[in-house]
Amino acid sequence: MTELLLVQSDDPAHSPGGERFVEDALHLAAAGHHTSLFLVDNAVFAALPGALPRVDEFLGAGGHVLVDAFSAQQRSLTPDDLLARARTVEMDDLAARLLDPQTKVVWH
Amino acid sequence: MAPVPRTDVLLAVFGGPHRTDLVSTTFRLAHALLDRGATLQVWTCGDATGLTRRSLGDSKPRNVVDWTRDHPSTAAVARGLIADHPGRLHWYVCRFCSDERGMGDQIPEVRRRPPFTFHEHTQAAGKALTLGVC
Amino acid sequence: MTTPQNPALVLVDRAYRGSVETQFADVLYIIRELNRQTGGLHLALRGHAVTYAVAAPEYEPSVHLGSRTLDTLPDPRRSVRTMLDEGATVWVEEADLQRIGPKAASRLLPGTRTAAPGELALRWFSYSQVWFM
Repeated sequence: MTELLLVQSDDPAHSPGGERFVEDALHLAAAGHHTSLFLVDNAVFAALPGALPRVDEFLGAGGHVLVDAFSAQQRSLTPDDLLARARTVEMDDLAARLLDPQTKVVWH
Repeated sequence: MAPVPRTDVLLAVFGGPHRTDLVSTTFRLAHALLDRGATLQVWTCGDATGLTRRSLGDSKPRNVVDWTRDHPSTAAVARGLIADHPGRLHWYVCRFCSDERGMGDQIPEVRRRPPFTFHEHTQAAGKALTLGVC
Repeated sequence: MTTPQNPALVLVDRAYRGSVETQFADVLYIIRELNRQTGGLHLALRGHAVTYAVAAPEYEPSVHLGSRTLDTLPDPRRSVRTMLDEGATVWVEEADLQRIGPKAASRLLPGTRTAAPGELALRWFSYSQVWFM
């Protein structure tokens, strides 16, 4: 396994467990692992600028933030509303990563 | 008991409906995986076992302001996905959880399995994820 | 493939999810069964769930409801003790243990290990499965 994909579904800014999960992602990225945080359902709110400092730290440590397009659209969020470094992707992207034998996926 | 088929992915759905978008996301992810040609097991536990209970029928109760429009039940949606991908989507329901919740009567397209077989099912999948909590 | 040499890691970060309706069938019941099926797993407790591994000397898993005494409520410490006896490795996260104060923290069940912030996450690659339950 060379990559880690952490999928967060609750808004981590309103969920202590969710924030801890983002911290896990930060530790992994800071240690040099290729780490992506996939935000789905209410977790897409964490991709708003200023929503959660840990997400900014994660990006600063080399992490990648992916935002589920459908979840964001459903919640009236456009890519322009989100962090510039967050990338909006389709569910097919998650499926592809899940099927990649080099990617370990953890869902929270 | 029928042998467990080998699949690319197992999605173990522990969270229940009507609380978050977990169920919708599960269906969307299942569709995306199957669209890519993957083979998939879905295993439901807890309140998620109710997604495929027979008493749901094919449709939700009618919308009084849109009387003639059909709104499929989750059981119908699951049944449709299974029918659309014969031999590639295998849906299992935890027998203990469904019995505990009085939801043991399930649609014929899914199979109830005892909880002690869960590990066997995860071992038959290339990757196994747990979605939501009971 | 999950084996005793390549165990699964199960994390619990939501606690107290029902007592009367749940009784014995709480998440620890499932995890104990998984421990048996897999030959030994690691259980990590976070947030309020760290208290599952803290002795509760004043708790009786019983309530009176009308004429009924319901004495089959979940008893998470008993479940954790049993899992430790059955070979599971149980972790609590230090930050959450500190949050409940030193007196409560001193009642950590024997055999429970503590993990510093990030310590377990950095080991996720070494577990066959990492599941939040």
